[in-house]
Amino acid sequence: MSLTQSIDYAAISPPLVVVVTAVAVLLADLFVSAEVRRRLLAPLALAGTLGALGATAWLATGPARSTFCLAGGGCSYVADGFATYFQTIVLAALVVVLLLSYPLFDERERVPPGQVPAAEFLALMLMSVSGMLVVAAGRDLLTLLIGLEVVSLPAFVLVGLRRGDPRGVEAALKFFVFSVVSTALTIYGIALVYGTTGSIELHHIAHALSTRHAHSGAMSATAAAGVVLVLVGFGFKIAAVPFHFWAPDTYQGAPVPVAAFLSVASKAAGFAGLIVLLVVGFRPYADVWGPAVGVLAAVSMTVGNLVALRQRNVVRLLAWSTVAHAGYLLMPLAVASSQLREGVRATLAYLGIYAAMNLGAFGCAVLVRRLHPRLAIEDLRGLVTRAPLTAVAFGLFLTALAGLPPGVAGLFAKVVVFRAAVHGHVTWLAVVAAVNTVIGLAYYLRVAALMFVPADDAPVAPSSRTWSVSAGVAIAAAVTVVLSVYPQPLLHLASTAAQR
Amino acid sequence: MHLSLALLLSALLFGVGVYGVLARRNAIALLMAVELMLNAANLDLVAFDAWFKDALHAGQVFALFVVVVAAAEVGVGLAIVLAVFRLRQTVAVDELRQLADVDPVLRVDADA
Amino acid sequence: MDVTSSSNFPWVTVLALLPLIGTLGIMLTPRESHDTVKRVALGTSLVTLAGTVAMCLEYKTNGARFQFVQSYDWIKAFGVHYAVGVDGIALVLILMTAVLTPVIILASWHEAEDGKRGVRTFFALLLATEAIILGVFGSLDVFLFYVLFEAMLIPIYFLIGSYGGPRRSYAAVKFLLYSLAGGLLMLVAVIALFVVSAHRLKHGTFDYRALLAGDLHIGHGEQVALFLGFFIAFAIKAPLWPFHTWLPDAAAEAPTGVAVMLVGVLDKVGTFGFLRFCIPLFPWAARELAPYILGLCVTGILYGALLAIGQRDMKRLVAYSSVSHFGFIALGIFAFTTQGGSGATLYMVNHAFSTGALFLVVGFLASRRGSRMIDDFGGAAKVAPWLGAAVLVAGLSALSLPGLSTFVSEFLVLVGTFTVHRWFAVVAIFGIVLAAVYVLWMVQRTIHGPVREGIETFRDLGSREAWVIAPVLAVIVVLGIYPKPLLDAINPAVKHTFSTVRPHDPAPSVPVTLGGPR
Repeated sequence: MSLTQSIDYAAISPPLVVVVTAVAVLLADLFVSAEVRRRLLAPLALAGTLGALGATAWLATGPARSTFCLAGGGCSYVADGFATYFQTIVLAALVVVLLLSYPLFDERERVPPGQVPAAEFLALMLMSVSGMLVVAAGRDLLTLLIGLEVVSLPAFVLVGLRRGDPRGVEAALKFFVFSVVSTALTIYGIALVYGTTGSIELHHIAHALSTRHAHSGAMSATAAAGVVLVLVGFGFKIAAVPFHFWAPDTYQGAPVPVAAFLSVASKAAGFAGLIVLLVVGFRPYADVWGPAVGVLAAVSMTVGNLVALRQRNVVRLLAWSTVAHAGYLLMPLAVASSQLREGVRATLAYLGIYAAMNLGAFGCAVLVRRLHPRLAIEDLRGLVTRAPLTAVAFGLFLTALAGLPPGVAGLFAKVVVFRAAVHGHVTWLAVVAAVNTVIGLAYYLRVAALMFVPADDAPVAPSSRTWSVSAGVAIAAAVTVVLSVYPQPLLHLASTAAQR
Repeated sequence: MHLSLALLLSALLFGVGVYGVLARRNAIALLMAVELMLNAANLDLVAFDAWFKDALHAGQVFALFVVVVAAAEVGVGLAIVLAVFRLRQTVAVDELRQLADVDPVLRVDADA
Repeated sequence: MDVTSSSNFPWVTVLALLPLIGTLGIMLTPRESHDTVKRVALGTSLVTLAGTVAMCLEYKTNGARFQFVQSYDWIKAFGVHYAVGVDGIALVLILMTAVLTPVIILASWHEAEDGKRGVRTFFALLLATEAIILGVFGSLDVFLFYVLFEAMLIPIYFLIGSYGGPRRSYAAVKFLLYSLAGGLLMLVAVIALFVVSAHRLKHGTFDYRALLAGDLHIGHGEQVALFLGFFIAFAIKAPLWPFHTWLPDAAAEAPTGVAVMLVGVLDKVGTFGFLRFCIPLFPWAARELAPYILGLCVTGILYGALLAIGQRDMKRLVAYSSVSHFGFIALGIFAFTTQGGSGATLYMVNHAFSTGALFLVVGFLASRRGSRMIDDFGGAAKVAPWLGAAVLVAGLSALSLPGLSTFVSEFLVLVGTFTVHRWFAVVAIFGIVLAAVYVLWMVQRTIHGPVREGIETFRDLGSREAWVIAPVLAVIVVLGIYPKPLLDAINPAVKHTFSTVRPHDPAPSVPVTLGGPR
């Protein structure tokens, strides 16, 4: 037996590029003078991200590649359409988030309060993303778990990285506590699954589970408990109710770009892992997790929307809205039957559209924060006269999240998941979601309408470093508009990604 | 040794850990409770591995990774706890209430 | 097949794009050059008008039901198409829009100069509104229609909210909320229609013609629900009593030109929607609910007229008179007779010009006196005879004087209704009597009688004002004498529209070629 393993470096190129960039950023911070750092670090990180994006695009055009394979079949890392779909979303989100966070950076030795040290921030974010890229391609429990940990550990630090910010560290601690507890539950669940199947490789697990499931008894019950525990752990990652408690506090306390990062990229990674687990590994136990996912979805959207109704802070409102969207994203997975493939396709399509509109909404919150640091919803009154473009963009994203024109992309997303739910015979869930959509309209439109109340203020001139934020919002807006007019390519990509 | 003995011990450890997470308010104690939960899982993994006589030793390998994960978590966690203590002079999680659904706007006002 | 084949020129797309190009052109001109902006706006609207006239000349009245059709897959996964084309009803409404827009732009020449948002935005928004409305009338895909239907709100909201009177903010938000509420109901119905079509046809589609041809046979309960979803949205937009309360506020606060756009053109989308969607797609529900709807119409006719009598603000008076007129239009539509439907369609056009003329002359009066209150006027005709004459003609058209265009349509509506619902028609006639009261009262108190203080210095119609009002009054007179070309285009389309709900007109039938009084 050979002790060396052949590794397909092309398959793992996206996370590889990202990690190398992260190390390069840290090294540059050590060895380069402050003057050069200012101009070097952020562009370096952006270039690395774009490079990884290019690698992903190249992988997406070719056939699926696998690496870290076992002799008995089954690979730990598979760069197929599913993986590249998620990797593209995560990397594109990272590009926007980097643009949004540029004004936060400070490259000096002693970082003033309210800023973040640029090199640490960039390196941590890149490392977190490398974890996401691995989760999207991971096909065994160990790879998925390590990937998730690589996502989470830097994220804790990112949340509390703002200097001298007591709310930032509070947010970080809450995020940390909930996350490690959920990880512990996941690992225990994995241990039970391993114990009943004898493998950590997902296809083997599926095979073993189907024979286990046939003979009910202690082993079958143990396996079911393991499946549910793993599900609970992922419920925390995607902030589904009742595992959502960390999300609003963390998003509010974190720097807004980090909140955007968590709500889009981190959630996407969580869904990537969840879908792989449910569809590949735990498929034989669909009768166990199907109803559980359905209940999670229904409760998430209902609680998220109802609590969002009474929020008075923009970021908290968006945080609760992401909780509700976790429910919409879970809804098609509750199908758990022969129609599951269409469900997965719907979730993927929803996620792509959600990424664009939610990043944009958080980006607008970054822009608004410059005018109104406390980000109270009431501050938005008459925003259209003070910052017309921001108000228009924010209006677009909010209507998209609500699923109304002019943000038609959000409407398409809703229709996709509704259709999947109805086709998969979980009509009750579709009805719950319809009611929730109406509740959602109430708070999204309240905010949107408030911005467009005519006021008599003068426009405020933009400050020097916010151009990058505007660029990030512009990218999100452009993507949202394109998806509103012509969503066909995304829907097509989502359905090829789901064809595995 | 029968497999069920190891599993029972592991389940007990896990239960203690869960109780600790739910009952303790000190962040350090909470962290230790999480360690208990992780080690319960490790015990399971190793016990199953030995029981299966797994040729790949997946359970043992997994347990090693979990040890590393736990170490990393503790490292990051203690750093955060330290930062919290420096800025707030407390490590009790239920005293951290600057971020909550109770009148968030007014609270932010008080900060600014 | 030479007669029935229609040209393939994509008229609807071109006509909707022209104002959009104008909008872009306006946004590219320098901020300060107001005159350039206005000339570009007016020029664009005139080019659009020319294009529309060309389209009308090419339209074959005895041709296919939908002409100048273009249809491309837009979003295959949802059966959404970019499908446009016109039938006779859409054709005359597009023509109406294209004729009124230059008038509105000319009427708003000095409107935006003290606005918060500047001249450029104002005219850009006006042209954008025109483009969207042309698209709405021309769309042959339910989804496309819905998107444009909602998109109309945006420019109008800003036009009212930024350029309106003192209570503009309240009026704009009220308008928005009412419209959004209706739009939501319609959205639900649109999605439900897709689900139903996916169920009945092999694949779901939003293509209007496919839905018509597919013969959906929707179950009765579903029909009523879907019908109501569309109906309430359109009833709010039209507006039909009791969904009208946003209109007086919005129309009163909007600048004159925008008020004409809103009441004259935009609200016709509501009544157009009745004809386009509510009746052909859900015939059973339309038939069953028609008596109740006719009840609403008649109530609206009397209610609007009574409230108009009680108004002291002239703009609100015109707005309430419109509520009454919209009652007539809907009455004609839901009688399901060719005369009624054709009359109602003609009424839409005539009402746009008649109400437009009233808003315009009220705007002239108000700009001179600085007030819209009837009590502040008196004897204006003695000081400004031409202005007085314009007020008089506009007023007479509102009370449907024989010889003016509104008479023809009101007559057709009443005849069409009388043949099937005698008592509704009889009650509606009282609306005409009341119209005479409020119109004559207003005319008498503003332009006749002794010259009031502040009126002595009234200027007569300026050349710009004359250019604004003359075409509108000319249309009113011409259509009063010779409505045949429009009716020729409308009649086949109305017959098609009613073919599912009532294939044959009940006897006794009155010939619809009746061209008004000679």
